[in-house]
Amino acid sequence: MMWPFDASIESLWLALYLLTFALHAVFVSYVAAGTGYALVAALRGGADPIAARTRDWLPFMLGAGITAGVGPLLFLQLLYQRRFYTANLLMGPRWGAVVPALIVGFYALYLAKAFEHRRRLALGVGAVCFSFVAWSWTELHQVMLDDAGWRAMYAAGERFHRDAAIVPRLAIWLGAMLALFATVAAWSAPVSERRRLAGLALAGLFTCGAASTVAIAIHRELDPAHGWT
Amino acid sequence: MSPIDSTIPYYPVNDFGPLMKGLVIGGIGIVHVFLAQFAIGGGMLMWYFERLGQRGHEDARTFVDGYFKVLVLVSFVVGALTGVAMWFATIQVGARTIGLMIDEFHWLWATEWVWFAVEITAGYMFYRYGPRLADRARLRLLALYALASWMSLFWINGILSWQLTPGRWLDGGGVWAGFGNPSFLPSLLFRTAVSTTLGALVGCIVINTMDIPRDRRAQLIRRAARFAAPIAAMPLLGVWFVAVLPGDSRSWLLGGSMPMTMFVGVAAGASLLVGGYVIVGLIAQRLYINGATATLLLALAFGATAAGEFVREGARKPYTVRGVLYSTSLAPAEVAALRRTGATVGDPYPLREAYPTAQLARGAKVFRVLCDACHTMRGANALVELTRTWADDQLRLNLAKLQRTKGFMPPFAGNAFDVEALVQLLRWERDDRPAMFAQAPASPETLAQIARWLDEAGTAPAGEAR
Repeated sequence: MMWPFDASIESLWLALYLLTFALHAVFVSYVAAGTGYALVAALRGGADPIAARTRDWLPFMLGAGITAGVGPLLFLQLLYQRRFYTANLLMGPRWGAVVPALIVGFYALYLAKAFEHRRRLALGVGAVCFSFVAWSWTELHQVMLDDAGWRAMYAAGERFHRDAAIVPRLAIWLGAMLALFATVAAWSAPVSERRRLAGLALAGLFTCGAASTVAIAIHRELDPAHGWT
Repeated sequence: MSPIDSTIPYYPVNDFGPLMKGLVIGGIGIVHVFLAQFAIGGGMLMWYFERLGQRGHEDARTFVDGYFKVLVLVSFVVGALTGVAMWFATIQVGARTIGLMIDEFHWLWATEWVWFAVEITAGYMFYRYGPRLADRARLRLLALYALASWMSLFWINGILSWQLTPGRWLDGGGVWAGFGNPSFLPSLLFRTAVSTTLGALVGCIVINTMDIPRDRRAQLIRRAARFAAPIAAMPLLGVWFVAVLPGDSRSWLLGGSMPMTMFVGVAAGASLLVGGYVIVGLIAQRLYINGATATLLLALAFGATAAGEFVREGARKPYTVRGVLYSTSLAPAEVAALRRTGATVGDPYPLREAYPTAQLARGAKVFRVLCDACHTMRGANALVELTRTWADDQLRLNLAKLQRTKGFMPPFAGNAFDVEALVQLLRWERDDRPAMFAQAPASPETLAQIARWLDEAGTAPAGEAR
């Protein structure tokens, strides 16, 4: 049978990677999109029960997202070890900044939950931190794919990888995150709030579709599938 | 069989400036270990105090429902993040090493992650729903948290201790032989004793913040102090750990290397002070401890942890995985091949700066491949300073016979041209990088002498593989 249905150990790693990544994606989507939603609600003012519930759950969701991220990180290193490590090294300290960004974002969420008068600032800081993390992962992925450019990137001491695919990929992810956040938030929402959440989810899916269409129109092809190296 | 075989994976190397890479990993690792071990001990202490509270000790219940669970929550989140930071930092410093560990132990690492996920879930559930739960459910949730956090230590300790004492894994014993290696049990028991001690010390600090009369705080402190009693076993466990180390590693800790011996002294001395106060003062004499003193003891415990982690890391030299991978990320079997081809022939990454001569550029590449993992040029553990007073021939000899120069150095994994290139680079750096570097090309006789020294030293390390 052809890969990945050939019952090889790599197929098992791939399946587990996708499963654990899906779990991680649900949590971090809630955090990224939820922080954005709560920030917009805080800026607009007024009572928003969805935003209030979201602020309450955000710290837990981030902790859960970080915990759930360890699993896919493990299988990523099995499947794409050389690419992943090389990309880490090429991006260097700029990649390492992801960890302090998560720490700052985590405590910002706690501040936003606990202190109303610091809420906008805290949510703004959190949104910046999580946007940085999302952008960093997208950029890392592109560096992983660009093995032809590794030597030049290293020689130039470049820590940023300028790639036209980053913005559309980020847009696709942000759209997906919005849809996932709305889906999870709808679970505990009364019927009266679900219409708005459904609208958010549809907006997210539309963003995904539109970004994908634009990306395909520009590049005229899908990324070729990569095996593990 | 590990995917890392005879093909050497060259990774890009980042410059950490004046910082020694080992210190960076060590710094992050110490914070992570301290927080993680506190989270384990803190969880156990919370279970114990919850049980006390359910048996009528009201203040114990207040303790559990108050600050302490918040502290544990903070520590295990930051502990998780510093764990990820360790992973990222290890990739920066020794990508091949972490890759080998992942390749060999990924299922055990996945198991550790499952237990960690259980720990986090149980901790959050108690934090959020604890006040609403029945007594039995509270106790079970805390027990699950404590068990899961210790099980996380159980699995990761096996993987880490394998690096230092791979044991029968070296004979093809497989994953379980590697996991159940000689230093697994002494280090697991030692770390458990550290965890309960840290939990008790932080408990004493938190108790001093409770708004209850001193005599009631004293009762709680006496209870918390009992939790630190396992510290009495640490000297024996430490001796056991040292006894199972490879002979050369043991000799460095016991006087062969003064920096390592001093770290052992700091770790043992600080532990003795903490242990003495706990056993004699708190447990035997039932003394009261105020917040300031408890904080001081905690700081001593941090110092002991820091020194102990440095000892554990340093004892592993010249390897990152004993007998398998040197600190240079080269396998012992690859040294002989690189003696023939040269150290840098397979390195695809160019230099980031220009050098006046091709030989200096070669020397810079040799430094990057063979020295950069543990040395800087001019900062911490600087090669320029270490070799400043050596005559040129002395430097050639010491590099060619590196594993004989210092027993904790790996054999030089290059040829005579590489040795000479590194010698010239060190001289150029020592002379503050003159634009015009007057160097005479090494004579054939000099290169032949270096080659003889390399052959005399051989490609084996100075010490035994296990």
